[in-house]
Amino acid sequence: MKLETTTPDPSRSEIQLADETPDERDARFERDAMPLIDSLYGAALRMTRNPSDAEDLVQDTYARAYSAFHQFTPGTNLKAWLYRILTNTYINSYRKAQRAPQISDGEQIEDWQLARAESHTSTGFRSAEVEALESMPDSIVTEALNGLSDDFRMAVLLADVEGFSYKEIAQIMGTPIGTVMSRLNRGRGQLRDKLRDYATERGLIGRRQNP
Amino acid sequence: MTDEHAKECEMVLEHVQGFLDNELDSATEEAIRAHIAICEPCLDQAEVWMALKTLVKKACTSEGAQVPESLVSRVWFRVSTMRIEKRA
Repeated sequence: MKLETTTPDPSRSEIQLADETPDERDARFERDAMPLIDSLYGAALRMTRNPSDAEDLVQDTYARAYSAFHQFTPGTNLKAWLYRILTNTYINSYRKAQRAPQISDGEQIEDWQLARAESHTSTGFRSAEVEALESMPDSIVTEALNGLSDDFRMAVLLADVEGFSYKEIAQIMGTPIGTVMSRLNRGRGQLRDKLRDYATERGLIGRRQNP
Repeated sequence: MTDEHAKECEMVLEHVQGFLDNELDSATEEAIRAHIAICEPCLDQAEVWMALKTLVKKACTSEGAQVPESLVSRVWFRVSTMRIEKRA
């Protein structure tokens, strides 16, 4: 999912902001920011891994967002802006006090996935690793995710669960896009290794094959 | 396997995640599509990374994290309090 990438018209938003009364701005906050509470709570829960910290994190995020709402440029990506506050709040306050970790949507078939059926070189079978991944229990996946370093875990969650683009993740995490890409690559790589080890231990797939 | 093919495989492995994330320019994307249509090991890799993405999303959304109603009220209350303080 790509979020809208419309470039704001600065002249328009300036006029809008200049004319806006505090009441109007409050109304805009209520109308635009409050409906995103579901997404933010889900993200907070995945970051903190427990409901009570997640609730505190969401409350703090909204309080900060409300105080800083005059700095938000209308027409730009509000969801990414709120996630940035959420992420920063989490990193600055909750991560330090982090407790020990506890323990689909409709799949779209892409052209390239159909290649297997058409390819001459294909044996017609998907790899054992894919089969093993598809039968992986959710709890094993979340446990493996929780085993990643915070930076890697956040990058993977922001990309694969929240559906943000690299550019948006870079804004949210306050890093260059290159850093986002390397965190994603390394985070997913470690995740894949952990899940492959799990599957290997249980004899679901053979000992390590290629890459 | 020709050297050229091996180089293509390397390129695909380097960019396959960007490909699955829809983050590549169209020329690189096309090159990857063309390559995985004829190279099974690379197709296998693409499928594994795709399965991993799908799996992470499924595992993290299946908990069905419903926002507690009380949280919505508390956030609303806190923001309203800030509003009143601001105006005071």
